[in-house]
Amino acid sequence: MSATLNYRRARLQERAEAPVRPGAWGVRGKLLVGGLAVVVAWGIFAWTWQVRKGLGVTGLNDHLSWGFYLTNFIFFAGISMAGTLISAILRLTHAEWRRPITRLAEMITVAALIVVASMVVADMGRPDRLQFVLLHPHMRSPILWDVLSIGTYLAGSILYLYLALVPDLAILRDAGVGGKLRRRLYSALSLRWHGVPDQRRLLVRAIGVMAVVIVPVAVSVHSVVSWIFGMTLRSGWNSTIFGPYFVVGAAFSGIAGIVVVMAIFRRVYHLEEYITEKHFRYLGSLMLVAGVMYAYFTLSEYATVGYKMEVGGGSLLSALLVGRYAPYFWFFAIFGTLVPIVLLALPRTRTVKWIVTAAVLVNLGMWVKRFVIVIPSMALPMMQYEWGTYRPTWVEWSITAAGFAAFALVFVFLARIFPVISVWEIEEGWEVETAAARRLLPSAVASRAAAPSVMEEVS
Amino acid sequence: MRRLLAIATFGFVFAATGIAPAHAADVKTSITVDQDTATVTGEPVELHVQVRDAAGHPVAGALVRLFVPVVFMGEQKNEIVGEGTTNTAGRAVIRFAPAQTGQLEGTLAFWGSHGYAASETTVSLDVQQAAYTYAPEPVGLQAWWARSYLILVPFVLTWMVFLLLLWLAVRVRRAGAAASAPTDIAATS
Repeated sequence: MSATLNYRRARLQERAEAPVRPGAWGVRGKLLVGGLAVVVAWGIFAWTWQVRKGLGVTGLNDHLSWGFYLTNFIFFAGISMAGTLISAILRLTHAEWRRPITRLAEMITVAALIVVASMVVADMGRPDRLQFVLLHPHMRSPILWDVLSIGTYLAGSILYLYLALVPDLAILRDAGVGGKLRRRLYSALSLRWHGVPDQRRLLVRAIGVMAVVIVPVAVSVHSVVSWIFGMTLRSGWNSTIFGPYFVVGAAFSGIAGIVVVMAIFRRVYHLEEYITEKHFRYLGSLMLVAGVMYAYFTLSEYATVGYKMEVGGGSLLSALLVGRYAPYFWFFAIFGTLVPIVLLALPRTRTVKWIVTAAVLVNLGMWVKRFVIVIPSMALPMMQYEWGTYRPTWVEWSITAAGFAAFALVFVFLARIFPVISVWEIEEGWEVETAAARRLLPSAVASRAAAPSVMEEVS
Repeated sequence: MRRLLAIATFGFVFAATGIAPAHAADVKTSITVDQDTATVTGEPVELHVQVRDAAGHPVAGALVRLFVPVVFMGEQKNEIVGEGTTNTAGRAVIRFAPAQTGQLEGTLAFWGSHGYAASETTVSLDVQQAAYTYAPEPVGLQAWWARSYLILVPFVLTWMVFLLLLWLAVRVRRAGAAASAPTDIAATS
């Protein structure tokens, strides 16, 4: 092993271990965690208030029984797509550039799914009702399908995150990072990893199987979430394209989510050496494709409704385009879709700064889009009555804020215990590069005059 | 004054009931019906009605409506379910298909026109359950596969894969233990 490679490895391990070492956070980090914990605590207080007083303390009513909670539910379900897309799909397609960002993506999925589950509980009003879904399952109910697929996805994501963590946990174990409890945790979870060929073979097989399994599970989650709406005879929801529409939307917001998280961690932990501009550009390209597809689906959905202009669909479309919900719809259309697509498409704005700006806009826009999907269709009267009204109260705002804070807190908690970049995968990538260079180098030298571009490929 | 009061009263009755009061000069009418006494749900029943005047002459062009009592939004109402206009023989055929079983008490009404006074009669039908029942293929969530536990199959399979992976993790640990065994012995010695 060359001295250069040894130095690179030592430096990588030092960078990866730095955030999990005791005292690595400093005052600002502690303040951030404290602030997030306060917001979460306030949200828990609001939720207990809601449990005690009933859903009447929210803006939900007999006409509009879904509001912020469902909006958050779909939003975070979409964010959870990041882990699958980045990690599993890129792993299956042997995209080598994925290696430094897979861990972040997998962590996002776990953190987002925890918030997804909590939003379901918040929306139920009484948490004890959750037992009825499990004790008296109604097989034809998309709600049950949702519980099953999200539970499966959460379990699968935790397993997937864990399997890919094992070699890095062994590094932390061997480095003796943390106090007694942490050392015990690393020792127990690292499965006596020593990197022997048998272990590598088994782990690679397990991760490969998981990568194959987790993709359909993730697609099922977003499809089932869409079917909660799509299988309802209600204007705006009764659509056959909702499955793929939601899957593409999840990919769009999921990639945007990982771009934002990547930018934050890259800056805070000085990971510029590993998470490079190339990663932002590649993810930006994926986000652009997902964005264009989402825009197309949106156009297709509303164009077909607008051509027919049935009573319900027509009223809904008018409310969205020029009526009471127009500000939300156009915010999504312009700032959540159009502007990001332009930013991502123009070569001049394909820089880290603008890609992150586009990602932030996409996240904001997609939250608003989920609001636009849920609220107007519920507000639309199905008989000759007035439109329903929905004004979220402090309880919903608090629980929503707590949801976002909990997402960040879970993420920070995971990043405090586990390395945010996958050391062993990056090292494996170097080995792949070296092997490729060794394979190509002799032929490159031999045919240098004939094909000089081979050397460029190696470099 | 009396005339004005009478007009106001008739006007009020007309407005409140929607039925034009019979003018004193109007010719009285009557409705007779040759009805099927029994029918089944879903099958159209034909009511052959005839409208005659007081002298027994047929009344042509009389619109006869069939009302049946229905409960809508918790409120009892009479719903028009069929109508027919009499021919020169004063006859009309009214068709309708009852949806519910039981004794159906309907009303055939002629609201009066062209100098003929309004009249009505009742009609009684014994509606039986059809010998055959419609069993349309359920759609959407009523489909048999959606009701069955088949939906659990992919989830069960997925969880089985998860268990398989946990088993692989155990094997990783065993392989690690095997690899580190000599080191452990050396350390203890």
